[in-house]
Amino acid sequence: MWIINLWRFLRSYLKVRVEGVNTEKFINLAVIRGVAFWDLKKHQNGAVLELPANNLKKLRVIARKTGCSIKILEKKGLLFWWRKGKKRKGFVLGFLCFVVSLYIATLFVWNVQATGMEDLTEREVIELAAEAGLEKGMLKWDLDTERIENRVAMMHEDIVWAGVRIRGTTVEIKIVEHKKREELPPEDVEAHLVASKDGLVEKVLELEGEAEVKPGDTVSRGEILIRGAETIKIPDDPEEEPEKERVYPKGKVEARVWYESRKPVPEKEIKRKKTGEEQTALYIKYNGRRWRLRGPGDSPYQRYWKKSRSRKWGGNTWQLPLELVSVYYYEIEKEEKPLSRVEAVEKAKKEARSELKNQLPQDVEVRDYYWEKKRKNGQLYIRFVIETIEDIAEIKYN
Amino acid sequence: MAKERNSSRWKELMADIFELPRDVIMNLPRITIVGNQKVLLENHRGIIHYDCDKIRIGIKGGELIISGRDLQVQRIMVEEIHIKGFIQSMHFEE
Repeated sequence: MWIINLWRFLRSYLKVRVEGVNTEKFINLAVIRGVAFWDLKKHQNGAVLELPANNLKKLRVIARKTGCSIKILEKKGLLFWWRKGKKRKGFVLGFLCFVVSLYIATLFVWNVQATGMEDLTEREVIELAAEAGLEKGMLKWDLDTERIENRVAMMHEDIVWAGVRIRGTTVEIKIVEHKKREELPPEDVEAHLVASKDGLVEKVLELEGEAEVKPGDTVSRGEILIRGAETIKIPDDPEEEPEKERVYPKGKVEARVWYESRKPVPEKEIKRKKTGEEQTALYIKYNGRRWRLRGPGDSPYQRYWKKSRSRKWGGNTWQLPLELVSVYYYEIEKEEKPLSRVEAVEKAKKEARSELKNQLPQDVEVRDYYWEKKRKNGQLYIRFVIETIEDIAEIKYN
Repeated sequence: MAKERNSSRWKELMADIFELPRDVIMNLPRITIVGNQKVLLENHRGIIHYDCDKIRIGIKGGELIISGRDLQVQRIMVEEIHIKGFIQSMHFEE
């Protein structure tokens, strides 16, 4: 619809009043003769309608034929603006100046941003780009993005790839850095593979170094599993000095490891529940400071659950420093519920299990699990054990 | 008169046989209504009378009367009429 309105505005149109006894006749004749008009409305003993400015003459002819008269109410559109503008030269000049200066302002690079850095800082990348020929304040058409991409990538050894993109008046540089090489062991230091956990050795795989343990051995944390060594290479030529060579241990030691957790069996359960009472506070935040607009400044309830949500305005490149924060307070009540023995044991088991799950390292194979009830000082416990198979070898330098 | 009725029947038959839309073959008006806010009428025969609360439009074999509030003819061309406003009722008259 707006595009139609724009088209009408550009062509310029008139709002007129047609007065006469038989305006219907007038309308039908106008339609038949192909004189376009729109927004026809009854107005006392006539009609108000809008029509393109250049159709007025044709309409006047039709009006005379059907005994109606036409009165212009409003003139709208570019043509009439143009006529007005001729009288108000200063205003038009100012407006044109504004448009032209806005256009000129968009021709420059106003801002340079860099993303994708890992070790480099944004500043370093921007300085590099400046050296390569991308500076704030330069004309956008002087910017050869391809050349800057290549030069930035070549100038710094850590940068593998650089991409330059123009977004409005902002230039974005995207950087991809080299993957870090694996850390090399410190030179000439004794090194061994030691146990990172207590366990029962299942399998030993020695790639380099000498195994100290064999399957079936129990190891405790910190024990040496595979020993690194220092070998002396005897040269073929007896004149030469014998060469020392350090062997860094390498290998895998798989062991059964047990994780255990004890949880007392509870007698009752405490549940937290929303009572349904709630209050909301609204804050406005600007530059790190905030003001309360309405609602309580602190929780109106003794036990409560608090949630806050903030609303920001702006896009990716630019954000309004203003922020609207709503804080919700929900009243909470505690409820105690006696538990039956079965439920209580189940609950303790669940707690113990979830605690263990958090302790387990990622991607280990769980071989087995079991649990048992135990009584100690009159308190009933659940002991939950998980058995895993994992590589416990860990390098240690002396 | 009899002849016209015959030809009309003949056209109706053709429309049925070939499954053609009746508005094309029989010159009937096609009316599209958007809620109670807009009416698009194709194949009209001119405005007979219009007012803010009633518009009468000529169609084949009679007229269509639209009543409502704040009615206005948004666009009018030889083939179609667009009417805007709050439509309360529409009915045909012979």
